[in-house]
Amino acid sequence: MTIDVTISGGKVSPSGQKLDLAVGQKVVLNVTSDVDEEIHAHALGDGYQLNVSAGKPATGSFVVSDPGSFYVEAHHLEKVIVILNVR
Amino acid sequence: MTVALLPLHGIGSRDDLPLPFGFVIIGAVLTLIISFGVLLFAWRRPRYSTIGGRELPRLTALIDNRVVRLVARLLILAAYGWAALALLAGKDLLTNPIFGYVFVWMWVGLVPISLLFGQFWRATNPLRTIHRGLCAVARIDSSLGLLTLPRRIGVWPAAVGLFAFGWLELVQPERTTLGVLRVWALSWLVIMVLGAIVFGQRWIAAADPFETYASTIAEMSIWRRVVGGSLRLVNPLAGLSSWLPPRGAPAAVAALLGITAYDSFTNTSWWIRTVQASNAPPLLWQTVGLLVMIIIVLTSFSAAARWMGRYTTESSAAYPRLMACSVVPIVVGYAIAHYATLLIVEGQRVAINFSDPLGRGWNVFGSAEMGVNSAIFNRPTAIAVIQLAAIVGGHVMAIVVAHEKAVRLLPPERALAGQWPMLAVMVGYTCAGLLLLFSP
Repeated sequence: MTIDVTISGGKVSPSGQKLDLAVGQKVVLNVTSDVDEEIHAHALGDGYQLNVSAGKPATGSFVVSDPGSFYVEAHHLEKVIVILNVR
Repeated sequence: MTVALLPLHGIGSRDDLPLPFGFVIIGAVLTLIISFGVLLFAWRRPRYSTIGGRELPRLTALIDNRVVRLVARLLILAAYGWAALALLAGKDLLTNPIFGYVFVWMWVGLVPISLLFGQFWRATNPLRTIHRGLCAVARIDSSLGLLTLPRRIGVWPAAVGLFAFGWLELVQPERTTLGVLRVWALSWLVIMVLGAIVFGQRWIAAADPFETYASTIAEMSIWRRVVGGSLRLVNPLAGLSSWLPPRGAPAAVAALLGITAYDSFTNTSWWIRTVQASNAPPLLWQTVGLLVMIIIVLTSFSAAARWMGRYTTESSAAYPRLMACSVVPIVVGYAIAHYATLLIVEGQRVAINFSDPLGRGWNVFGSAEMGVNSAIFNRPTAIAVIQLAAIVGGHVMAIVVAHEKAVRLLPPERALAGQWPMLAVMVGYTCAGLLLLFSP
């Protein structure tokens, strides 16, 4: 599952979209941002974090290991990007 | 949890999966069939006019024993004191047990405590213990104050307090930081204790949101005190039907239902998308959203109750209060569906961190090294079944109580005509609840 994330002008895209995943699936994040940001996801024990700098696209990936519903957020903007429903 | 994220429900990072749509349909169909069944075929004369049940003289003697009461109150006070230690001197991290103590143990825990143990919360409320202690030292009667609280005030202050706590739980920015929680905790303590000094101990029953929530839920338990003071084991339907709610109870119950409904609603894609795209501050959206949910519940419930007044000589304004008891099972069903996994998982985390309130590496109760068992999250079907059972079960109990009240309050030939709006409103709450759990 690849998620293309764009952060610009204080808004995030996608914004609150819900995605269905299976346990063990790999999630790839391609993030482009106009500000320095931290993308947080709680689909792992301690949480996953991807740092992205203004103007420099970043890519990261993690595997969803547990069932449940998790938020993926832009930490500083306090905005929800996607919600992962893992079964 | 090392990453401080926008917490869900005030705390916790992992949420229940959406209820499968098939479950929503099953729930809605069951709700409709059972509701019409009750309306058309249930009893036409009141069934629970007498409380009935079994008297329990030995249990009454035990719980009325002064030493037992004192020990229970002091133990509960000690627990709150320990939590206060974490609040005032602990570390400002999510491993501080105070956040879970307030948002999970207190706010969610009071539901099973009240269902299982009746008016336990009111009997052991630390606010009352503190006020009694102060009065004992000052040698004044704790039931008296400087002024008399008018009867008319009922639980209106508590209804406002419930809205305030809902706002804290779901809207207050930085709610899982010590600075913010300290202000709220101090405000609660001062308003309650000062109010009790001014108005007497009755203020706490009128204004403490936790006690009002707990004592409302306790009306649905199997324990009941009858006039004369002894404890009886009763049918919860009979007990709930016999309860005369205080003034302001419809507002309090509407706040409880509205808070849970709002919590679910903020999890929908539509809400997240709309609030995040808007230039209006999220705080405004959230405050208005919470208020609107509560107002929707209050107005729909009051209108349905007032409809019953058309068929009697009693004023319509009396009916929301008389019928408030019937919504309580729906409140409980919603609470179980939304918070059960939170209590089971985050509740354990509080117990673990409770051994080390100051974050110094203590292990006072021996739980500090334990891990949280979150196996429940690996059974999404079991969770979905529990949620469906809670919502539909709560609905069935609610319409049975509403039916019983209707046949008691209305003339027999009007019982059907007077009841159906309340039934429709309850079907609406239940189907809305199922849809919100489906969380589109």
